[in-house]
Amino acid sequence: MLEIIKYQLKGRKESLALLLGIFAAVNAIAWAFAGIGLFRGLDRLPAACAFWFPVSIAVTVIVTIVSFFLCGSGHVNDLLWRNTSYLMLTIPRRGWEILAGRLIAGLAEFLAIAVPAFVMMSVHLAFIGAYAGPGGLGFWGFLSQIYGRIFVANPAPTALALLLALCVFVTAGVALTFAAIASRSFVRNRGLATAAIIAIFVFVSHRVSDLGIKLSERLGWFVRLPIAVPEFSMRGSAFGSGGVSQSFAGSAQQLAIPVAPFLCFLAVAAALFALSAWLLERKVEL
Amino acid sequence: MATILETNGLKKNYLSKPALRDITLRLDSGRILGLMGPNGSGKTTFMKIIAGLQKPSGGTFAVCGETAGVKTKGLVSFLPDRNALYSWMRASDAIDFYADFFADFDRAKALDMLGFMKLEPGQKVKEMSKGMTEKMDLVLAFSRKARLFLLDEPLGGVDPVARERIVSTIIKTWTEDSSIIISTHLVNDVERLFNDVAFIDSGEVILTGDAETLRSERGKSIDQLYLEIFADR
Repeated sequence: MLEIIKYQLKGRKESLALLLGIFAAVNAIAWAFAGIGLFRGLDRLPAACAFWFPVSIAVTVIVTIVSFFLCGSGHVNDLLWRNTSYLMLTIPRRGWEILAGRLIAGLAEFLAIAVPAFVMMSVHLAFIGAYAGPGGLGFWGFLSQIYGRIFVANPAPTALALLLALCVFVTAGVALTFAAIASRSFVRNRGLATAAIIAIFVFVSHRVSDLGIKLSERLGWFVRLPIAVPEFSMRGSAFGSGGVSQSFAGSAQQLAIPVAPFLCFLAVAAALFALSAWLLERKVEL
Repeated sequence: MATILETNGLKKNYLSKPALRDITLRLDSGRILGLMGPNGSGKTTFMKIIAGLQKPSGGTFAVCGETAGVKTKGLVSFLPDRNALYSWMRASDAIDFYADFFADFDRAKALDMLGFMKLEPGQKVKEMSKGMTEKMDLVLAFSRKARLFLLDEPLGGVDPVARERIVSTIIKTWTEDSSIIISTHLVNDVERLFNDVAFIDSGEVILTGDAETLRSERGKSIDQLYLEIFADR
C-alpha cells in the first residue's frame, strides 16, 4: 500500500504545486494591499481590497471544496476512466490496497491544501480584524487571538471538530469512490449511474443520521464540550465607514454533540469501502 | 514442458452480444503464439481477460495452474494496445514503478533495454512520441521475468526500424520457461517468431495449430493464410 501512496502523491505533486502557487499569488496580492493600508495608518481596508479580498477568498474556498471531493475519493475517476487504469489494474495488488492507498494519499493531498487555506483565511481575518476590531490590537495581535482562541482556549472542541471533519471526509470520499466503482462495474452510462448512486447515498445518509440521533438520545451518547467565548468588540466595518460598534460579552457554553450518527456514518463508510474493494477486484472491467 | 496457459470454454458477452465463444486453448512453456484476426474479432478481449482487466462471462482459465486473481497478475506481463503510463512519469519513474510493484522485474535489464531502444532515463512520458511510448511500454513489459507475456498489437504505429528492434527484443526475451502471445495485423513482420498460431473471428477460434505444420500442410506462409481466411469475411 505504501507504494500506491508514494506514486499517487508523486503524480499529484505538480498539480498541488500549481494550486498552492495560485493560492499564494492571489492571497499575497490581497495582503499586500491590506498591509500597505495598515502601514499608512488607514482606518479601513484600501479600495483594491474590495476586489482582491473576495477574489482570494473565493479562489481559496472553491479550490478547497473541489479538492475535498476529488482528494476524498482518491481521484477515483483517474483510476477507472483513463488509459492509466490499465497500469494500476494489472499490478498484483488487492483491491482494498489500491483503494486504501489512494484514499490515504488523497487525505495527505487534501491536508496539503486545507492547512494553507486555513492559514490564509486566518490572515485575511486578522487583516479585517486589524481594521475593524478593537483598537490597539493590530494585525499580529488579532492573528495570535485567532489561533489562541482555536487551539489554546478550546483544544478539546477543536480536536473534536477535526475528528468530525475527518469522519465527514472519509465518509463522503468512500461514498464517491463507491459511486464511481459501481457505475464502472454495472452501468456504462457513467453520469446517470453516478447521479443515481449519489441520490441513493443522500437518502441513506438522511436515514442513518436520523437513526444515529435517536440512538444517541436513547443511550445518552453525547460528547459535552465546554466552549470559551471571550469578550469581543467590533468598532465598525472594515470595508466602509460609519459602522455601528458592537460588543459581545464573554461566556462559557457547553456544546452537546451526538456521537452515534458519526459512528453510524463510519460503519456505512466501512461497508461501502469493503464493497468497493470487492467490486474493483471482481466486477470492474476496462 | 509445463503448461503456461489453459483456457476452457472461455466466453465473454457484452450484454447480449458475444465477444468470445468457447475459447479452449493450451499454451506450453517456450512457445510463441500468434493470435490473429480482424478488428473486433475478440483478440484484445481475450488478452484483457487473461491480464485480469475483464471478467469472463463463462468458462475458466489458468496461468501456471493458478486461476484468475492477484496471483495470475503476478505471472502475466501485459503490453496493452495503448500507452498506460502516467504522463508525469519519466522513463526512470516508470522503471521504479515496475520495480516496486512486480517482484520479477529486472531493473538492470530494463536500463539495458532502454539504451537498446534509444530512450533516455530522464525522458518524460508526455514528451515521447507514439513510437517511443510503445518502445517504453515494451521495455517495461519485457524486463519482467513473467511466465506469460501478452503483447497486444506491439507493432502498431511504429516505424520499420523500431519494428525491427521490437522483434529483436521479443527474440531476446524468449525463454524456455515462459510463453508469449502476440496479437497483430502485421503478420508478415512477426510470423517467423510464431511456434503456434490461432486465427480468431467473431470471438471464435476458426483455425489453430503448429505454425510450421500449417505452413507445410497448406503450402503457404501464415501471412498468406491470414489473407486467404479473412479476405471474404
